[in-house]
Amino acid sequence: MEIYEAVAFALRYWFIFVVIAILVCVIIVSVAEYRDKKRIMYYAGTYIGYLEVVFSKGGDTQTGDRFTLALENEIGSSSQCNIVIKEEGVMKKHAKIYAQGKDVILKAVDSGITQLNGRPVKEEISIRPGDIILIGDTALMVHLKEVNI
Amino acid sequence: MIYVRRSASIVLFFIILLVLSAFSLLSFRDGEFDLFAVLMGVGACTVYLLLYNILKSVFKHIDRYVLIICILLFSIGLIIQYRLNPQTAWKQFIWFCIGIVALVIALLVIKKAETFGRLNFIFLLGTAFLLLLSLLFARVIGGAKNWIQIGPFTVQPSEFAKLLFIITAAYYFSKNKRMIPLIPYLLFSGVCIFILVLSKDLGAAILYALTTLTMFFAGTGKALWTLLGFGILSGGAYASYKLFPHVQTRVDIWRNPWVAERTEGYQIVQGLMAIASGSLLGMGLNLGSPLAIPASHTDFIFAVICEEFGIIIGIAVIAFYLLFILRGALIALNARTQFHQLLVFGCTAMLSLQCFVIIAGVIKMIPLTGITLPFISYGGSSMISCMALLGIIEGVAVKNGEMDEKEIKSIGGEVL
Repeated sequence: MEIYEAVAFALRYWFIFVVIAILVCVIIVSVAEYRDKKRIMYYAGTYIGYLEVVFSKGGDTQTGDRFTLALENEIGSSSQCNIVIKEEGVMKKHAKIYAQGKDVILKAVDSGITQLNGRPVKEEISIRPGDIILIGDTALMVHLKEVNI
Repeated sequence: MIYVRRSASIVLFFIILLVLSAFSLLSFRDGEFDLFAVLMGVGACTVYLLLYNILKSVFKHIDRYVLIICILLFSIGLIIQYRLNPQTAWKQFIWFCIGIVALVIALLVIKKAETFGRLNFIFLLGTAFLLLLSLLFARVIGGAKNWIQIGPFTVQPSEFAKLLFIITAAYYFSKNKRMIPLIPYLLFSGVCIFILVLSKDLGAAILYALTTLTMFFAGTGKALWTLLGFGILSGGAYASYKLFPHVQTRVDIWRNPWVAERTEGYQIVQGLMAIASGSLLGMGLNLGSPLAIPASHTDFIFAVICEEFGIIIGIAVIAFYLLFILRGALIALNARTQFHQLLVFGCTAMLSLQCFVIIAGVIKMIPLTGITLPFISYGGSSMISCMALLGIIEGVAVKNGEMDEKEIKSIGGEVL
């Protein structure tokens, strides 16, 4: 019994260590998760939808890649654009997509190939979910949130 | 954009370490090896692993940390139960397994249902029926009349009435914003509380009253009316102090338990001495003398935790309850409809008030009223109702998660 007492006495520190470790873990993870979630839900609130690559000739972009759409977006091969497509036939600043009232507008900026559902885009045109945009040789499908800002 | 939800596996690993080491230690407590202690430790860990992993994979958006906190609190309770009496520990373990079923049922019901609509009226009658049942037919145990004998089991109807009570309160407070349509419901809750006072179940009466008031304030935001409610509550408490002799003894013991340390004050004096002898680091598992405290396995389990594990772990237990409240509040704030917000808020308020009333009672901060410490104390009815309350919270968490995922997916993101 003396051995048991010694072991039980020593294990007090172990129990305290484990419980405090669990407490610290739960607190740290709760705070981190809360921050992550706040950030992503903020994005979910401000972004209007996304573009999904449905065809590419296999440069930097892959089929299935997704580009989030903010209220204003510049598409091009320059790294200053917020949607960067480094492919053949994509100009430095190629096109713009922006929200105007309840509509989302696609505007060709440069003389490169910009098509909406197979038709060339000259100036501005409003886009809807399910439309296919062709930028150079890359085809992108439009996904928009049900309610736009 | 990918939102990776944090896994709780590391915490579960620590819990398993805690349970296994404690039960291995307990298996040598009588000088010879006790296989059943090890079996219980291994069994508990298996159930935890199955519970966590199955729930996580079936309900993707379950709040893992609320579940983990509940598992941890139950583990600490189970270790103490085994140390006090292995037989009650086995019973408690079985109640926990039944509680898991209650959790899953509550989760599924809340996930499917919108507001229960007209069913709420039936729930209202059900609450009154259960409370009347305990007033009319219950046996008196420990001064309170709240146990009903059904075959070999004793059931506490007021524990199950809690669930219905919270659902109806959430429904009526979310549906009506003006005062006049709410008056019948407020009268009904007043009657419920009065029935509990008549059954001498003062702990439950305080719990119901404070939960109603917090939910009323959260639902309608009427500060003055809430203050008036507190006034009525205090008046009622004072009146019952004047009217009922057993309330007077409770308050007198609370003021000075040492006058009656061998009679009425025995329990609280023993509890205080246990906490004091445990000091910061505790006496070591199985080295204290918690069996001297009456009801050490139910109401006074917090004193036993402080005695054998130390006040540090006692404070950690309170911290875990606080984290539970915090996460519950976050789930409530994130809920999409007001009914669900109030539902989660009510469940969290009920569980946290329950902890406060009993822990504060044990440490002689407020007069002692006998209720259980959620997830830790021994008691089948209490375990099942606490797990069902947890199930309601998780059900709303799952609903929130699904809505969040929809939003995140709409901007091309993914939830893992």
